[in-house]
Amino acid sequence: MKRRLFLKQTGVVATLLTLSNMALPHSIEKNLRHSAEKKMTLKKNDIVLFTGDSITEGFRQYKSYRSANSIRALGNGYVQLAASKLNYSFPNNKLKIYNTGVSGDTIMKMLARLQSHVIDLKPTVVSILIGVNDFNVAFMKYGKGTPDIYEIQYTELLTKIKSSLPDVRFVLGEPYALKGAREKIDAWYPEFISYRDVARRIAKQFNAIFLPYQSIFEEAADNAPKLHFSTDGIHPSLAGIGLMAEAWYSCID
Amino acid sequence: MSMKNRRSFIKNLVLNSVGIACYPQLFAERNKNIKIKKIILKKGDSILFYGDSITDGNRNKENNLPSKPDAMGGGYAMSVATTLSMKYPNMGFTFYNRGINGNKTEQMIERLEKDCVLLKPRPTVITLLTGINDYSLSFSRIGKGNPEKYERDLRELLRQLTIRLLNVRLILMEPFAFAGIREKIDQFLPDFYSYQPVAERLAREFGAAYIPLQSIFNEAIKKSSTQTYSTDGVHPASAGIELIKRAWFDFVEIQGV
Repeated sequence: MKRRLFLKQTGVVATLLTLSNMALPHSIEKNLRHSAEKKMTLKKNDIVLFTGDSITEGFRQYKSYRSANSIRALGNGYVQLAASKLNYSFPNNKLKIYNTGVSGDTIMKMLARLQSHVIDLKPTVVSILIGVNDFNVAFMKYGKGTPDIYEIQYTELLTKIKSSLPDVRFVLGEPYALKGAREKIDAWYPEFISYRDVARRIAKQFNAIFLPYQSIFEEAADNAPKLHFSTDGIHPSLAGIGLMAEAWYSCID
Repeated sequence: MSMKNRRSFIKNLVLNSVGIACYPQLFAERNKNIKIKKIILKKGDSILFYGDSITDGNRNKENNLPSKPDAMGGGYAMSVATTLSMKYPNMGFTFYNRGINGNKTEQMIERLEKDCVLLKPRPTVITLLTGINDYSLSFSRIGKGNPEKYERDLRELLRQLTIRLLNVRLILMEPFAFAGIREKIDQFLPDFYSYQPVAERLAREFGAAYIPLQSIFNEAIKKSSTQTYSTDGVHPASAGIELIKRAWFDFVEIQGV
């Protein structure tokens, strides 16, 4: 199946092609993963900003989000863990690390707070994990995903960030949903796969580092008790938080 | 990350155990007469972190359930728990954080029943970190530390834990502070350091592993700056949390993986 997307990168006004929401078979989807090894070198005084939904938020204290490296502001999730690894491993880089993840976020909500929660903090590295709520909203409304809208909005989000911060480097996490935890999540398949594909495609388009969380979780689960890495299929458990932080950190040179 | 890299990434997670024991070695070199005590972690261990704000790490105190990310906070307890749980998924560990900001050792004795003894499953491994608030209170009252009281309280805490929780394995972490960050802290250094040998002595008395965090921090600071590890002189910054985590892993051995 050949997909052709004509996107106007300037905004949501793009011509929407009526794309089939049929998901690709898993085997093909696997082959789509770009196999180029990509790593990122952190520079001195880099400002690393993590944003996304509840997974990224990790129960952080909202009001202190402008305090770089603050324990309260970084939350109790993978961001805190990745940040402590980064600051420990690169003590002389004087990194500033922020977390502006917001529980329940979709790309539309993120676009609305983009200035204060991303641009104003002048990050040089922006790490985004978003898509699960976008999918959920569409799924509740239409009984299926709208990956083309997700793709247009995601493109708009990154285009806007890039136009304000031309030298920004992106790290994009694959939105993941793990089967076998809840019927609700199981019902997302195979529809949900197309959202993962979009994130992967966007990462390539914006020369971003892509973190394939879905397969990272799936492969880790092979040798572990059921639901060890996530009890609800969406939010990481303690072990899942560790896994995500390791994955993030492994992309740093 | 490519497929192949991902595979080796996952493989490394499984194979990489706790790493080189650099801290115990460092410690051993300086304290030649002291045998380094490590704590064995076994299948099904219930692992409790008990202490003050450093342990607390802004945890959600309304969630009392074990092994919940919000209940573990954002400090070293969370860092240790996530790493253990990720690397050893089949060990069936349970994690509790019962650190409370502002706590002194005597308050930890007071709440020991509720916050240690009655936990289900019963704690089999307890990590303790206490002392800085004991000192701070004494300093504000009498202008100096009262290591004798700290010794009495800490001994009582350890005594009750070992009696109430038979065969519990204890890890006692050295209370620490950083010079050159805040005047308020500098004021009470080095008097505060008199609390550290107390903790070390009691660790030996009760067969606990002792993690000499102050010297571990001091070594690390030589290579960068104090600010890397603490911005207020008392609480570890994010790099400090990672350092405590790594030190902790140097003082445990995992059995039956």
